[in-house]
Amino acid sequence: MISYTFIQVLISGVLLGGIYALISIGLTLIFGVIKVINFAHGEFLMLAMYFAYWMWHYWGVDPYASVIVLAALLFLIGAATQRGIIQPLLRSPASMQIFATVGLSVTLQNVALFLWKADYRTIQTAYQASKITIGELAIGYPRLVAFVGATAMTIIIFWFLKNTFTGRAIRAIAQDRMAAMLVGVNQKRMYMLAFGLGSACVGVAGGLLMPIYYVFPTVGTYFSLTAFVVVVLGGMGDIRGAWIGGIIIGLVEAISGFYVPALKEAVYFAIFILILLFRPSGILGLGRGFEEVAQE
Amino acid sequence: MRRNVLEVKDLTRRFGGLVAVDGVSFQIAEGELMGLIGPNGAGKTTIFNLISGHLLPTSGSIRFLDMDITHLKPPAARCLAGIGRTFQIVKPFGGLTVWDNVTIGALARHPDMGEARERARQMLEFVGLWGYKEVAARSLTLPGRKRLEMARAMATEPKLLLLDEVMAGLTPTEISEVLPMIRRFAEEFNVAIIVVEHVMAAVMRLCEWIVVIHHGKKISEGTPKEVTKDPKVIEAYLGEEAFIA
Amino acid sequence: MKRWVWSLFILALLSALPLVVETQFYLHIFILTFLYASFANSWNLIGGYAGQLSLGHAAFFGIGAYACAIGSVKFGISPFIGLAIGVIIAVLVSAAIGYPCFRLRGPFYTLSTIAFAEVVRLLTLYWRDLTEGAVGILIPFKPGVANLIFSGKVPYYYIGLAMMALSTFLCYHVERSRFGYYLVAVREDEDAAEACGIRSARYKLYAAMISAAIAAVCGVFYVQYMLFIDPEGVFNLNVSIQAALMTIIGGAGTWLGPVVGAALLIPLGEFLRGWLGGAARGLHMAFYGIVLIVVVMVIPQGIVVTVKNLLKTKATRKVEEERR
Repeated sequence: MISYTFIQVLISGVLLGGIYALISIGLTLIFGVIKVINFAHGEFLMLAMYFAYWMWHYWGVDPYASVIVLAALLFLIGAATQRGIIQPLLRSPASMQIFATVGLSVTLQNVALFLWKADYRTIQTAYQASKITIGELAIGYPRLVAFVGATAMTIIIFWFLKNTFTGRAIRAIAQDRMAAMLVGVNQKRMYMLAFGLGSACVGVAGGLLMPIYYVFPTVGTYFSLTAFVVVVLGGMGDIRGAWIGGIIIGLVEAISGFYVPALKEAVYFAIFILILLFRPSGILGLGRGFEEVAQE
Repeated sequence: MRRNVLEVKDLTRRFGGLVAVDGVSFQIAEGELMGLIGPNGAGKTTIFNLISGHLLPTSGSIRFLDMDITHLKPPAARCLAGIGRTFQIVKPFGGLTVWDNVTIGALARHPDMGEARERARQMLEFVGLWGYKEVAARSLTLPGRKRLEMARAMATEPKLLLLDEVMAGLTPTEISEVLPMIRRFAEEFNVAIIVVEHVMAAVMRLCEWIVVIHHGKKISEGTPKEVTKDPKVIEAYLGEEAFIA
Repeated sequence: MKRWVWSLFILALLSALPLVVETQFYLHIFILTFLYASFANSWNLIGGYAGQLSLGHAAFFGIGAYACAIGSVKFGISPFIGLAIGVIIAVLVSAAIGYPCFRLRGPFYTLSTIAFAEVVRLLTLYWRDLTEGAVGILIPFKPGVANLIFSGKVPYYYIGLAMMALSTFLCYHVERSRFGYYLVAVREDEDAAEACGIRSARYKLYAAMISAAIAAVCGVFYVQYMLFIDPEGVFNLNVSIQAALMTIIGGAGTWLGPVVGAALLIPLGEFLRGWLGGAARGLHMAFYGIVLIVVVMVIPQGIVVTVKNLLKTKATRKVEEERR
């Protein structure tokens, strides 16, 4: 009964979901550790995509090859944002931190608009149209690479947080800022590291996206809104949840895009509200950011 | 015979695998002063949160003035029913003045702004903070903030007042000022007061009845004299701090 | 008392202004300032007093504007009825978004509003039969009180001024009322507010609903003044951010803040836009972004409170010096 077309839709959904997952993991990592939502996360992705574009444009660097440079670059941007903007505001109300990142988002978006104009830019690669066919199914090569790359980065982040001393220190400070500082965890450095890592995720995502997408100054808005839904679905601050959430939203997008293309964002929003109503702690129930639910 | 204000029966609260409060029962009557003591992490603050509605119990029941409030939501409804509380980690409305802070408490009973401000003034005089009325709450010292919390809770005109470590971090002189204040409040307004306190000497002087909690369970109950002689209590505190003097 | 005298004086001054100023461009800037000050007032209720940041206030603004435009152009309904419909829809929608979020702690409301505004924008683009999609709706110029359309800028000037004065007075009143105290208590500490008998979820919801209603009225004024509306113009994230920005610059949670913020930013923005020209697209919003970061980091309380504190310390210093 299930047609090949439908399986094709599911596959493309999962592949797309991998990228969403990576972007969202970056966002949720930052929130989980520093308790700040980086509203400029999408603009960081936009920067990464432009960097990938210019590197290809001027030096002919393949975007896949630029991924490591992009990760490093975005790590630095993220760490600098933490040190320069968020750190001085740590004791301020959460609203001030939100506004600072919103301000950053507006600034980056409009500076990009000023510098690079509103044009949509794409790159051409030899492998752009190549496909892997299994029976009647065809999988675009760049999409597959994007999924594999995103998953690899996700695994690296997981491994890092779980098995390295620094990773564990980050998790410790995420759980209890005061206690971790008392046992000698360097809060400033760990926060910079966490913000940097979260931003490096969109660095990687930017490089992986460039061969299948186009870049323009407001491209980040679309991806960051998707990431918000994913992060809430996965449970705020829950990395595993964000990965699962990313895949789910990828599938939802593919399926709703197949049946009601123009309304897929409305479908996201409906999901978003439903999660808030019925399971605000996310799929795995490990989300943070709200304490005991005080309801009427 | 004094009427019972609060009856707690078999109160239990789990956090995942941890049983923070385990089958605790006690009661308190009008105008009575009760101490809730126990070593660190015994579950005292959790009991307060369950009574004030900031947490809901896993099982057991809470009766307040012949009303079953076990599942009454939100916490505000319990304040309006007549339960006032302070927080162990003080929660003043930091950006507002001292007077505004207490006015917000008083508004619970006096919807009229003028009346509420007048009521707040009385409470501030009661706790000795009237001189600081225009100061921002966040710039008060810790003892000041603890008094502010008390004044705000008292301004909601409770029948039951839960005081969570209002004397922690105070000097002996400051404690000797606060003690008669609490006693006077219980007497003048016929309020039942439960205090959670680490300063043992103060609790013993203040309270008529003591309930001892250890690992979430009630291990002893009685007058201060009886409790301090209870071997189970001594054992629970042994190795923690030797302050039952 | 002094505050009253000053307010009336400024109001009288502003009322007399069109008698002197005849340059259309200046009147236009005043009208925009009144509009945005009212819009920022609406944001201030939920974002300033109640501390629940909305980054999607453009949605409520746009709902009001579109309800009125669609009503009059497509169905021939009087803009006054369109206004009522717009306000009702905006209030219902804001309640539907607020209800699930306000029971929770954390940044859920902010995320919901930003997502909602985007969804409304896309729906407007999609629902072409009703909204004309990206093309936008042009309101035919038929002046008359019944159509709420006027020739010349002066009537808009007075309606805008009245709107600003009323919404500012509302905020002034709220600040001194039980309702306002409750909102501020919830903003400062929700646990403590609940312990004071304040049903926090309910009061946040009330604030969001009132705020949405005012935003919708602003939207109606916008469309009746511009006589044109398109999704990019009203549902853009920048519109939402401007409302927040003006309030914060002036002073969030103060009745005067949004007005001061709008009076600074709107003229500045218009002159910047004129001065930079079309070549520098994006620059004036980039400037807003930087201003937002700087204000948050340097004077997070906004101009009104900062100036007040400066005056106060100056006054106390004077007193101290006299004592010596």
